[in-house]
Amino acid sequence: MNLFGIIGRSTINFLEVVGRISIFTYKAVLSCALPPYYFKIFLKQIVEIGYYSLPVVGLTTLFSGMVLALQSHTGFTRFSAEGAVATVVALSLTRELGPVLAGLMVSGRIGASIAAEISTMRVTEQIDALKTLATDPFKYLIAPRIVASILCLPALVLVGDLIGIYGGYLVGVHKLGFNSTTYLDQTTIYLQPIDIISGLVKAAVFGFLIALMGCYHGYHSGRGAQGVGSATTNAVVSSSILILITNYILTELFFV
Amino acid sequence: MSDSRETPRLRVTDLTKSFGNKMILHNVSFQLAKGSSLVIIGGSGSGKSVLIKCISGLYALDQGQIEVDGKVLTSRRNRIDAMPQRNFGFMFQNAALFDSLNILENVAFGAKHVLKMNHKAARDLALEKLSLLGISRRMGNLYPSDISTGLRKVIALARTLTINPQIILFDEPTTGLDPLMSKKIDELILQCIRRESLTAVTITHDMSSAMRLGDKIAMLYKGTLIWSGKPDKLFKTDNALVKQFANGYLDGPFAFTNSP
Repeated sequence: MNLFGIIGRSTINFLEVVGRISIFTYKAVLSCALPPYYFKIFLKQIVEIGYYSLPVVGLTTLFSGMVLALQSHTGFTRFSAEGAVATVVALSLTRELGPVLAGLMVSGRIGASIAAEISTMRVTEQIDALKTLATDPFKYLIAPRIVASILCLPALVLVGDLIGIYGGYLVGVHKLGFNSTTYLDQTTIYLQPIDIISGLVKAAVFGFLIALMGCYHGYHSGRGAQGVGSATTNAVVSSSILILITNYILTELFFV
Repeated sequence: MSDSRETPRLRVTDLTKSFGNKMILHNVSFQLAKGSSLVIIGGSGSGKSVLIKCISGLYALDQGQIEVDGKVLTSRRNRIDAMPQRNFGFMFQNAALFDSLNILENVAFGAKHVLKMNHKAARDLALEKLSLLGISRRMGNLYPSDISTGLRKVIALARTLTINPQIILFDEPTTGLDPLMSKKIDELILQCIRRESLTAVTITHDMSSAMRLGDKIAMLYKGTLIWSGKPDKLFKTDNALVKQFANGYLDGPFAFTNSP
């Protein structure tokens, strides 16, 4: 095939994927908005996505807060700005690290699990069985996961921010010798509501992307074990990349 | 393919379906009276599964028409309207039970979502259907992964019956079962068809099962119905393709296909 042929084929394939994702997103959003609503499945997803992700997100943000305090202290001592450590830890976590790290961790845990579950249902004809029993798979499988993920991610990020700031506090006070009251004052003094709100909005968007990618790749998976494996990998990779791209766009919208 | 002069319960006319450039079904037509049972036989890749998925509305038709009791179901876009309006039941080849639900919840699913029953009524109906098929109440708490393939098919049959269908479609109901279990599943299917005067379309390549279940048998070959008749005529037919397939001869005009 000549060069133009290759470019043309790649462009058509790309547009086909974009079109398929757009239609899927439209149907998924519509399913979230319109009844019937499956509250029992929604609550189950809240527990699965929110409660069971808490240890992973907590540990990630705890150690990130601790490392951030250590690293910023090492850097700031070079130009006598050690006093900014607490502020940098708080701002970095609430604005960037909290949502991005939580998003990536939940993407690995939940995005993969959603894709594996839905693709297995596809392979074993359970999705077709739902249709034959007058149940729309978008409303029954996809909408509860998307709504639960949108709601759980901000809650996880909020808890993660607190744990991360506490990690920074532990290192700052017990290792670097900061005064406890001064550290806490420095943490809150420059922190504004927009810092926290922007992080929570990012988290909600990331939650949507994680569940959407998990559902999309699961729903359109190939046949057999290989199809399930590919769906899982694609869900994690695509949601992680989308999180990083969207994070930049949202940061520019909020702060530039 | 109906003996009755009254309006057939199910009429399929000129059903055609392709995937990409590959034609899977070509002008398939048949009709079935109330309470009759048609078995469609054919080799792998002959289009059997696609045919009943088109009838059930899981696949859109490229061309053709499906009627139930004289009412045309195919819409302008050739996709059939919602399943409950048509009172169709579908039993899948691998049972397709919901992994996340226990047996009782699986069977009650249709009652809740199709018949819109409340939790208790759906549960009572599910227990009744399970009991009719000889499944004890205590098995209701088990999950699909806890039970054998044969039992999963019985549960799938119970789930299908719970929505009180008029027409029931069976996708290879005895595939993967030992001869005794196959016979038991066939017996249960026959009992249900007779007790509830169901119209049934079964696809299979298990000849013993076909002979037990069918009032009539039809053979699909490369997407076209090439023969139909009473079961006792199957082995006496002059059609070389049907004769070869029914008897399981390797030599003959039957072209084996590798397509899915």
